[in-house]
Amino acid sequence: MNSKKTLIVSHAPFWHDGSGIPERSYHTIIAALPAAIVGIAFYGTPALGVISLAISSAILWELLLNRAMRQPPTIGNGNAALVGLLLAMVLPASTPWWIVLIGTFLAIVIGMQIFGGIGANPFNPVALAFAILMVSYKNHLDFDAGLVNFTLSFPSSTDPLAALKAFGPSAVEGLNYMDLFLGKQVGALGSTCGLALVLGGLYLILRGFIRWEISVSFLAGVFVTAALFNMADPARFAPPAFHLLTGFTMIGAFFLATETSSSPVNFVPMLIYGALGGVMTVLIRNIGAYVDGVIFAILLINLINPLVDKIRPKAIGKVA
Amino acid sequence: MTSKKQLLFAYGLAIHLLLIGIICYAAFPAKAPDEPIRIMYQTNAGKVLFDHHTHTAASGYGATCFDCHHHPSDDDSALIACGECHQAPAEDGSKPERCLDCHDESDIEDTEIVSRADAFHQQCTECHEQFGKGPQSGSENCSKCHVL
Ligand code: HEC
Ligand code: HEC
Ligand code: HEC
Ligand code: HEC
Ligand code: HEC
Repeated sequence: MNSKKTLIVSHAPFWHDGSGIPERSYHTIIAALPAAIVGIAFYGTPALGVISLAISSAILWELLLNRAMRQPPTIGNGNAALVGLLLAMVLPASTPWWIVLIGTFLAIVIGMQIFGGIGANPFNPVALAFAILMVSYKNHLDFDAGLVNFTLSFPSSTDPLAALKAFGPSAVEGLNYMDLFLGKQVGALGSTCGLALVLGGLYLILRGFIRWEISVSFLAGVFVTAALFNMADPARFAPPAFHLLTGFTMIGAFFLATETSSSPVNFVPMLIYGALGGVMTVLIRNIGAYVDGVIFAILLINLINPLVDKIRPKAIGKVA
Repeated sequence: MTSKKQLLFAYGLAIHLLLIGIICYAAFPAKAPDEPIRIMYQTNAGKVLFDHHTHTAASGYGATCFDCHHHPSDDDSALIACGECHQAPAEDGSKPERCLDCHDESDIEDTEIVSRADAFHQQCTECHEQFGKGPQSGSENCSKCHVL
């Protein structure tokens, strides 16, 4: 778009809802803010620190890269700010500042700009950055280990998914679903409050910024798979509602899986994409090595996105 | 394409939030409170999360400080980390520095002091057995504390 040449078509996706990229970014930020504010209410200043540093450093990394590549600055479109906010929301409130800086670097530079910037990234930059951080700095991103110095007023002071993995469903059966839905659980600073995330998600769906097909099929995938496991052996596998209300399920369904350039645009592909994400999430949680599966599940469906996107209506008039 | 206004907004956002971020990190450095809330031990048998606050809180398991912090008995000077005294024996057989704050080297020469891990295994499980609650001794219970 910055080149003098005309008649050059940019990358997919081409979903059009009549608005520009800046509008989409800032509306998504507004939709995500309530959940982030709940995080600040729970964890206080440290959470505000992580959020502020993540947003500002994401913008600055993008600006730096624009300079280095001699492009006009692209930060005005708000995408860097959005990526920074979402990354902060999946981190624990105890994240040290240097991990925040590395994280936004990974998301903006490795996750987006290397592939050509907005619209060209094959993976969700937030999920990619978090996955790299998770395997590199395990103890800092472990919610139980990270938050040891926080006084928490939650019914349980351990990460419910970690407790489930280590001690089985009996360790978490005392947890009240309403408490979980309201975010009263140990976890990332902006992804535990299901209520706020659902409201944000509904807003984005109604405004046409994200596709309901992906969010709904993702949640359905989680629910059905978890229900099957739970039916097979309730003593080993937690009930489906627990999986919906814990970990990154909600933020994944509404804010990560729906990222436009790494998700499909047609009806059937969207359903396959979302559902597979949900299925993988529960598979990793129940029989995989990681406590939460959402991040890896999303990277995986990002990977199959180009493939499922091949399922599409035939162009009219096209001969074989 | 973004307008000049949007660009200025982004610059403003970056600079203000950077300042807020720096202030938050500088003004509230992550430091451990004097009385621990939770402690995560990374051992070669997996990590162990000990919830100090819940064990002591009246709304939790209501243990008194001196149920665990035992030396000297019933004295606030005992409220220090167990690891200050319970250390693996030094090679030359000398006692931990900490003892010398209160004792002469010669007084405590023949006291055996168990390592911190042994002290935990003994004290934690003894109390749990007394209450009939919480992880107890026996090899089937290791994984109730240790998470690999
Ligand atoms: C269930 C046993 C238990 C009870 C009850 C208990 N503590 Fe502790 N406390 C510990 C353990 C275990 C440690 C960590 C020791 C270590 O890591 O070496 C500790 C550490 C401490 C430390 C040192 C922190 C540091 O790192 O320097 C203080 C101070 C402390 N406790 C105060 C208290 C107070 C005050 C109470 C009463 C309200 C109390 N404890 C009750 C088990 C207990
Ligand atoms: C100020 C030094 C000091 C501190 C701090 C301390 N201990 Fe001890 N501990 C001792 C000494 C000395 C002995 C051996 C003499 C005795 O039985 O009093 C001992 C003995 C023990 C024993 C019994 C070992 C046996 O062979 O019977 C256990 C269990 C124990 N400590 C656990 C703990 C735990 C748990 C903590 C932390 C909450 C702790 N200790 C903190 C000095 C300390
Ligand atoms: C904060 C001061 C303090 C420290 C540190 C301390 N002690 Fe003591 N110790 C006492 C006091 C006070 C007594 C008197 C008995 C009591 O109150 O338990 C005592 C008693 C003892 C006794 C006599 C046995 C008994 O139970 O009557 C031995 C042995 C001993 N301490 C060993 C140690 C060793 C070994 C260390 C270091 C690991 C140590 N102490 C650290 C204060 C301390
Ligand atoms: C003074 C008695 C006492 C001591 C000492 C004690 N505990 Fe406990 N612990 C309890 C009680 C009571 C429970 C109650 C469990 C319940 O209500 O289900 C418990 C529960 C637990 C549990 C399971 C529930 C939870 O909080 O996650 C763990 C894990 C645990 N304790 C770890 C430890 C460790 C580690 C130590 C030693 C550093 C320790 N405890 C020392 C009394 C004690
Ligand atoms: C009440 C909780 C609890 C139970 C039950 C328990 N442990 Fe531990 N264990 C701990 C804690 C706490 C530590 C950390 C000690 C430290 O870092 O000093 C530890 C440390 C260890 C270590 C490392 C020792 C070292 O010197 O670093 C080993 C090995 C171990 N435990 C094995 C076991 C085995 C085997 C069992 C089952 C028979 C078991 N534990 C049961 C709490 C427990």
